[in-house]
Amino acid sequence: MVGVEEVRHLAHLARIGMGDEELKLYAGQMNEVLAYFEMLDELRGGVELHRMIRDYDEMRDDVPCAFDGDALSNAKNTKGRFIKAPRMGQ
Amino acid sequence: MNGSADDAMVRIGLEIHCQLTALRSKLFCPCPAEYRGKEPNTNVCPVCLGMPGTLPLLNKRAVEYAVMLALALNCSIPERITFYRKNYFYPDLPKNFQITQYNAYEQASVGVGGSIVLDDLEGKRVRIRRLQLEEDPGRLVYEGSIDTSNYALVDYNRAGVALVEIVTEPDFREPGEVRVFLNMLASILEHLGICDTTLEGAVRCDANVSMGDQARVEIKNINSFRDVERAIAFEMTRQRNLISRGIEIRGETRHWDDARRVTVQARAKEEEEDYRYFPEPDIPSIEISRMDVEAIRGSMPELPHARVERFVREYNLQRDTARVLVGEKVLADMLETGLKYYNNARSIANWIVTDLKGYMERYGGSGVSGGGGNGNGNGDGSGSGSGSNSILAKVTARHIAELAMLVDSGRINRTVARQIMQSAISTGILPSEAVKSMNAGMLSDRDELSPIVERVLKEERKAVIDALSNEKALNYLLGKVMRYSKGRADPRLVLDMLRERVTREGK
Amino acid sequence: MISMVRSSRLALSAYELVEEFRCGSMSIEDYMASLLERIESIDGRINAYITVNEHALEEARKMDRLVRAGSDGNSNSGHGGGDQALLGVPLAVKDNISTLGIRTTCASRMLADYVPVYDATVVKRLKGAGAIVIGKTNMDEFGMGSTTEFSAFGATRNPWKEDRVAGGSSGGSGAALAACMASIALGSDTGGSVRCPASFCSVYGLKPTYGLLSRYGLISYASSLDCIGLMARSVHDLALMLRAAGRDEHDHTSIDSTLDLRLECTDLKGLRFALIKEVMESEGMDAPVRDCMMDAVSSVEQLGATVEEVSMPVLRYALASYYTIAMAEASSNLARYDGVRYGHTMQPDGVAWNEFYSTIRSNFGSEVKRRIMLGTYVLSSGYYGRYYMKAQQARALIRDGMMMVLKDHDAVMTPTMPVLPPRIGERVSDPLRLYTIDICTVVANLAGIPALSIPYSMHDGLPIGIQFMAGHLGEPLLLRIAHALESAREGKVRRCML
Ligand SMILES: [Mg+2]
Ligand SMILES: [Zn+2]
Repeated sequence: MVGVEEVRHLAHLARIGMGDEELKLYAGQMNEVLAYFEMLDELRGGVELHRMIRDYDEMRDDVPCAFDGDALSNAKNTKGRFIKAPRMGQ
Repeated sequence: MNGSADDAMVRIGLEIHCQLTALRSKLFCPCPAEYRGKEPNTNVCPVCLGMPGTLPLLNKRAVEYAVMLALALNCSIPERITFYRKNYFYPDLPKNFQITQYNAYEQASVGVGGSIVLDDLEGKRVRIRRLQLEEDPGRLVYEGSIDTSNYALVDYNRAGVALVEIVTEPDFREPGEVRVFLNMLASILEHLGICDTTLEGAVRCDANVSMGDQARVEIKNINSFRDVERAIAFEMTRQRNLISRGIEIRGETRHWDDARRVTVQARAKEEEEDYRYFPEPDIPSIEISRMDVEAIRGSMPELPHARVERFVREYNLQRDTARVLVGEKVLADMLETGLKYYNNARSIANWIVTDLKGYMERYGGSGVSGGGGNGNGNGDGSGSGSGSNSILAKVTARHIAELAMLVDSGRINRTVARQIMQSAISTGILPSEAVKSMNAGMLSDRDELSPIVERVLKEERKAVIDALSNEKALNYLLGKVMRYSKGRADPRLVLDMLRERVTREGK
Repeated sequence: MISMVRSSRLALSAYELVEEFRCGSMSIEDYMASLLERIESIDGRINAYITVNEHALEEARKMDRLVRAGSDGNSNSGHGGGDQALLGVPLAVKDNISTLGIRTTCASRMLADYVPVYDATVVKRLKGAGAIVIGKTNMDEFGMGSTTEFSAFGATRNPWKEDRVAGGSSGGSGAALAACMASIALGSDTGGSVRCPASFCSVYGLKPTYGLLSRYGLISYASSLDCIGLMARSVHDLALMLRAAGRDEHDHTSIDSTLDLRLECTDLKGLRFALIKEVMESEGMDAPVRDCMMDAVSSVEQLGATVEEVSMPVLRYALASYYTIAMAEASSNLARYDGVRYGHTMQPDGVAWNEFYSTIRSNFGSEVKRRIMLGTYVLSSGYYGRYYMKAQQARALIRDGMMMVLKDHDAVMTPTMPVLPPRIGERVSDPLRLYTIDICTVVANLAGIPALSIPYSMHDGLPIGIQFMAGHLGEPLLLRIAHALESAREGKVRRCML
């Protein structure tokens, strides 16, 4: 069971702004879904997990190639060639 | 300070990030790895910017380099490595997760359980907990200071550059040991040719310090190797003081403030993150067969330990001298290149260790510099060569070899040699050339030299008699001639003349 | 604009269209103009498209020139690289697949004005074969939904009955095909998102083997489950579209393949199909769907196949496993939408960073937020072993179980959706109840195997599709099954309405 405070912490981890009403609503719905997921806990270990495996030789060769488009053409907050972001801290 | 705080067992561990600067492209995209000195955000592509729909493409050579380093640090290498996502929000992190490796659920990282033996610490063994590949974040820049700026400016040029993270066990007891270890590591990196440790920000180091059964404190944001020692020393003193006053140490993360030379508490909020690691689904697990590992081992260049032994064996060097040379790869290389010009290893080594190294230290620190924060500092701009590098740009192996030869053959004495060295540092002129131009004003005429030689022979009767039985006494006489000629006499010619005259007197 | 093309032509399959374009009996420009006209006149009601490509006509004109240049010369095929197997074919692309220069929103406010600087590999390959992107289709935001109601651009309506949902999350692509607003379409399928709307709209929907179609350019929802899916009104068209398959150097999870996609055989002699007991007996299945399923079983038997029932108790965990993994991966994949480099944003000046992110990211729709929150929870330290790890175990068991069944059987047969298309608004309010309708489709994504939804019949004017799942790279077999059923049921199934 997740309480409203735990949901508030999750919302912080996920950086999704939520008011108290919304937190309450989500707590309710999440509990319903998590109660359903709970059945997974019946499974016991010893199973080789699903995993895609590739030979290291199939990876990319170390050949540089500069991108020839403007990869930051969608950025709206800029200053010169810099991207403007919120300042860190409080 | 009371006794118990002093006696408390100190444990220091390190977390070191090394850029694989020898790579040509980034870790997960083909953007050039060389980001230094470029205009902001010009070394980026949709992949390293985490644009929607893009996927990481692992650089094969990065895996090879990381395996090399893992082998050099005596780690065991799993048959399969896996990348994980470390989830946290930060403006320099384009995807808001870092692709890294994580060993909590399986042995996923390139290397684990290694160790390194430090000869300079009487064979002390430092254990390596793990070695992993991960991507560097971008760089934040503030106009003015971090506290007054209204926003941050982000440059993603560095984002996605390949890093190897090395985590040691808390095996160090004092800051000096850390320095020895870091120098050894730098030498290994240089010998493998995977990281140019002189580039600013190429090697970054965090430390953790704990005392006795007290909690562990992490120190981040240490920008140079020299500051690692300072930060640890400060932190040890701080903790000892608290303990002696009966105050318990809190487990926390502190930042090194290099201006004030103190550690300060990190903003608590930043550290409460839960990283929610899980396997990176866009990159398959990578199989590295034993055959691949052996092939990589076979392609590895000679490592410092082996090189020291070879120097002792082949060149008959003192072990200490060999260690000093190999400690900075450029110096060891200089010796071996110098042998092409003058086949006398002991002599060249002596010049490098006593003279050249002195100049390098005087003109700008040791060969290794750290720099750059771990993503949240004010950053490492474009790296410029350090002072020692600028000396090495002028003074080459050939310079040192020629100097050694000129002195050994008696063409010049050490005083003159040092003058030549000094002028080479500023002009790069080769000693053989310098000697030639000095020869313009050199006394190399027998008739001109004869009166001076005769005067010395007359004044130094005792030395002349000595010289009859001991060739070395000739050097004393030569010195006198040089002094009277104000250094202008051709020493070789003078030596010849002295030998003739002394021999004649003996008859 | 007065259309030059008879409207019945809009129902042609791609392979038929290409023939007409090649021989010059119809110009690509005229055809495109008629199609755009149809979109203009009916899409206000259906809402299949979020964006129509404003250069579509111009590109059609360019294609016409290529055709003329080709027929003037010595070749009867078009030029511009490749064999132009999709010459001039109008292609609808789900709005979570990147298209160079055409905005790609994922039906989200977060990306409402985002314009990609590159084409997805599959789009690039289909364009290389001659296809023309006609527009970007509506969907559940970031692919999270099964009804195309969770779109920031409004729900898509089912062309067969407009008070019903079109299915999701590729609802726009399904509706565009069913309403003759495109000839072929791309969707994406993470847990059934191509097969569900295919079933609800009476078209084909193929979820290929994981990795067969490059994911480069597909905007990630859940990376280990995501596939680009193919949608069409004929089996031939699916075969043509599969030319986009194969290893892509931009996607490490893409796979090599050489598939024999010739469609010759029209019977199913010697094939063994499996029904899954737990699916057939599930309470959630609507009666008309069950009836349709039984009818399909006798159809395939008449075509020479044998059908047996097998039991797979582990499927009980399929939905929990699927949703746990999908939400976990989604919570991480969607972290990048923070208003810094692209997408919805605000001025950062003087705003503290946590507040900036939280404010921007509150613009996700409710379902996306719900899944991010749940995904964040199941990955949190302390819960990882209880949910994510267990979900991966269940996934492995389900994959192994399917492999066992597919060792003895050529394909597994289920209804695509256990229910008829719900009314708009009927299911969205109850998340868990909405999740349960994916029970038949998520299995193929968990196992990484191919699955095809075949339009089979209608009940009360509402389409019902049947799903076949085959082993790794079993696409040729799936197309053979569909081809046999298509031939046998000629005239009994409508795949579009005009
Ligand atoms: Mg790290
Ligand atoms: Zn890049």
